Amino acid sequence: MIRIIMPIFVAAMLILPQAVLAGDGISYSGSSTIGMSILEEGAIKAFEQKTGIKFTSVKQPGSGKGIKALINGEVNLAGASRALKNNERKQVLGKTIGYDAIAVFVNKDNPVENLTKAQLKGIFTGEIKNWKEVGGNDAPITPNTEVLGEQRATMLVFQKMAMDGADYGKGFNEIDLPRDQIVQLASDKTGICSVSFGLLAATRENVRNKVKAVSVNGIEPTPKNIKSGAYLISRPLTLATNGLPKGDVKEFISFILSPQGQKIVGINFVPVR
Amino acid sequence: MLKLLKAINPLRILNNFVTRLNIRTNLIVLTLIVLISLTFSTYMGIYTLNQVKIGSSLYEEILDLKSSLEIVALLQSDLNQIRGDSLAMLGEENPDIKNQINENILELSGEIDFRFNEILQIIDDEEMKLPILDAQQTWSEFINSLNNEIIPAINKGNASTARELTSGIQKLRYERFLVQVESLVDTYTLTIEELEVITKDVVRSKIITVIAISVVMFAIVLFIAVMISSAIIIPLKKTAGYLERISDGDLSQQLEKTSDNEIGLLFSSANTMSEKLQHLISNIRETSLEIQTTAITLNKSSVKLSGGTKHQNEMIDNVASAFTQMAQITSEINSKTKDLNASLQDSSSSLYELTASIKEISGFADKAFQEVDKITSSHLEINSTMGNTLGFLDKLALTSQQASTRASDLTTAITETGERATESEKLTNEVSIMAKDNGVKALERMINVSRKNKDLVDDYSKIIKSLGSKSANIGKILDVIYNVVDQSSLLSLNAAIIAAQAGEHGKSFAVVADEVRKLSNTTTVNLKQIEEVVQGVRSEVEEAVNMIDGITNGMDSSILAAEQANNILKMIEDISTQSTVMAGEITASVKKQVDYCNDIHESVLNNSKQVDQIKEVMNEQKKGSDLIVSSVEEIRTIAEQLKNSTLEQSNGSAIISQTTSETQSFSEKLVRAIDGQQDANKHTVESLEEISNTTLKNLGTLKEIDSISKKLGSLEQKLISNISKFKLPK
Repeated sequence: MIRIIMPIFVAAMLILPQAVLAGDGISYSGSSTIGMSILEEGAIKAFEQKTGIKFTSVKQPGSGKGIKALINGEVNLAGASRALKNNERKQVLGKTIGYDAIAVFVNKDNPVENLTKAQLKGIFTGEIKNWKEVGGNDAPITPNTEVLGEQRATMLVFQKMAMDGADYGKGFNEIDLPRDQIVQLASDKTGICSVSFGLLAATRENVRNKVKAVSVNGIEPTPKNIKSGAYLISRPLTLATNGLPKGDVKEFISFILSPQGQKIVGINFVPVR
Repeated sequence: MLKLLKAINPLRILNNFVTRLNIRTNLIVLTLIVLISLTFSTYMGIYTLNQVKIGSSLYEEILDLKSSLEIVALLQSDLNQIRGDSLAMLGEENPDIKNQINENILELSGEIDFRFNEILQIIDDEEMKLPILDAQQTWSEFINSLNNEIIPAINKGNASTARELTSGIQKLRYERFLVQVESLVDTYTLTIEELEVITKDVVRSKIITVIAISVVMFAIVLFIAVMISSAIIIPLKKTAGYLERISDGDLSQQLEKTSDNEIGLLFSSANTMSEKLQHLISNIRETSLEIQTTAITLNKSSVKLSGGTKHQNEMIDNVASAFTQMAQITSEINSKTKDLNASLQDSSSSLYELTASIKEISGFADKAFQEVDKITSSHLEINSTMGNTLGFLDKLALTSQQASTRASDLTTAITETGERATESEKLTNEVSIMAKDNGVKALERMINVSRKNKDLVDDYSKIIKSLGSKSANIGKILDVIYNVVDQSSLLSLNAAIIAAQAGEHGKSFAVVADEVRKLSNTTTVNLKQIEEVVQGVRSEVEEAVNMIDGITNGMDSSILAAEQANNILKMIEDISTQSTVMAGEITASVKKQVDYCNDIHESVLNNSKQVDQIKEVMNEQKKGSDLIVSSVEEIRTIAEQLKNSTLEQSNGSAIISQTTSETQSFSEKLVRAIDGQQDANKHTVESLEEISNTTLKNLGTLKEIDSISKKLGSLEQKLISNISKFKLPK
């Protein structure tokens, strides 16, 4: 009997359409904030160790280009260090995996505790040049930035959110790595920089003890304030997929939203969890 | 997959499986497959219905998502209203309205809290809860800020601070709230779309699956049905062809049995039938060949017997014609004796007229002598006829012997049949009994008959020998008659002298005396002739005696040969009794043969009876001859008396007259005797005719046997040619 039925089922299995999708890995394009500070910070490695799924490519041309690449089908995962725009929402599905804030750091000895958006704009456009103009000591303000003209995401966000799109001033100390900007502040008592809040945790303790983040518009850059958007220069970190996430991409989103993934997000950012 | 299919070779296995199973089991399997297909289709239908219908898992999921979206929309709307209210509060001077707005905000915030709890209960997925929890946190900051900072600022009249907060931090929170919920809205919208697509796909794929499986099942059912039907039809066609070949006579092949099912049983039955036919036909063939051989032998025997019987018939015809001749002669004797009688009557009346006239006596005596002479010659002829008869009887005996030999040949043929029948115990027994009951007994009967015949011939020989001695006696009687005639002559001389002395009266007497003298002279001449004839008779009789002796010897040796044949037959019977097997068909033919042999034996027996009858006839002839002899002796006495009367002369006529009348009476007796003989002859002829008829009948029977054996032969040929049409395995 089994000899008769077995071939029948074998034949039926051959005829039935194959529902199994072959895993083809994850290709990422988009925000360097996500790319560098989450994916390359350990998420890719941990995810691969856990599931065996590999990232075939990680490109960081910026949030907007990443979403375009996703829409064009060049990649299956895009990252944006901002909320999706309404026109983007019509084509892709975004998922918030954490929140980033651009904190404004100064030396711990600097008496300034709070800066308004207008003050920040003045300092970074180069119009306000002395700390006493913003309630501090009479000392020239020596801001440091990432390399100008390289369209660094953090700088662009800060430019947009805090400076109302105005250009950065000239003659600033240009430092390649954002973390090194904080490190530099430890020895620069008149310095100021605007970098990702999460990078503070990545610095050594002696550095951390010599710098501080000022509140903006009276709001401190706490995780709570960053999440609720009350802190001015905060933004959701979004992973975007073409439609509902499927297969390897869905696996990765689940991973990054899991406690293990959120821990990695939490290294540099405010996790959602 | 292909390799696996090849290794299993499901078609071959299926074919073997279907062929080996009973037809009934096959049909049950087929029905089961159809039942499984039906159950599967029904299950798939129910499964699809359960998935798609209202209240199904997909439906419930979609419903939950939709209500979640509805709640999110309501949340957004409520939050918008609170924002509007808070802005309205900023510009409002009337404290009552402010309070009303405040109450409204409280109510809305309670509603929003309730909606967050509701949506968090609806959403099962932890991931999807995360943005809602974030939004809830944002909301709580928002409402805290409103209640604890903005509204107190408004109440204190610090409108600018309240406005700054509302357009600054509260706006940011509101925007963040929207961003946080929009992810859920997008996800759920897409999920709903996807679920709807899935529902459609599920229905479509399940229907396609059901159709595909139904088609596959149908194909399998059809395939198995075809296989089952060919598993029935092919062997049936094979069987039909096989039976057709058998009907054409080809028994050399067997059907190869492939299974133990109904078809296998059919094959076995057909093979058994063929084997039994083979056995039957080879038996018939062997039997036919044996019958053919027997028929040929029978035919040869019957041809031989026919020749012998024809010969016998000719012999019998010869005997019959001889007897007819004898009858004619006897009849002549009779008429002459009657004439004598009439003469004696005449002479008696003359004597009475001429008062015992010696002349008439002499004349009568003369006549009497003439008649006696004639009688003697007649007897001579009888004797010679009897000699012929003996010769014919001799030949008859020979014929009987030949018949016996033929019967013996026939018995040998039967014995040969018996020898061939050695293979069949049953039939051999029957043949043995036949040989014992019919062959040996018949032969014994034959021997008995032959012995009787020999006795008869012995008797006949004795009769003929006594006839010889009687003929010698006739010679002696003739001597006496010679004397009487001499005396008569002397008397007539004396009478003539006396008549001359008597003168006129003696004249007529003198004439008589003269006549008597003449008669005496004539008588003397005749007597001499009789004597010669009697001499001849005696020599013939002697010859006949010698011949009969020869017959007797021959008969002895034939009996001896028959006894030897009988012994051989008995030996054959013993040998055949020891044999064992023979086909039943031979029995019938042998029985027929035995019947024919019995007929032949009966014929031979009839022949013997005829010979017996001849013997009786001969006995009667002997009696007749005895009477003749006694009559001749009495004639001698009469002649003596005549002599005495003539010697006495004086008593002459009276004595002569008396003597004459006595002579007459004896003559009458003689006539009666001859009549008897004539009757006897007639009987003999009749008997011979009967023998002839019987022999003719035998011939007819033999012809019948011949035709039957020929018919048997032709039937055998036909049978053998028919059997040879059958092709038997080597």
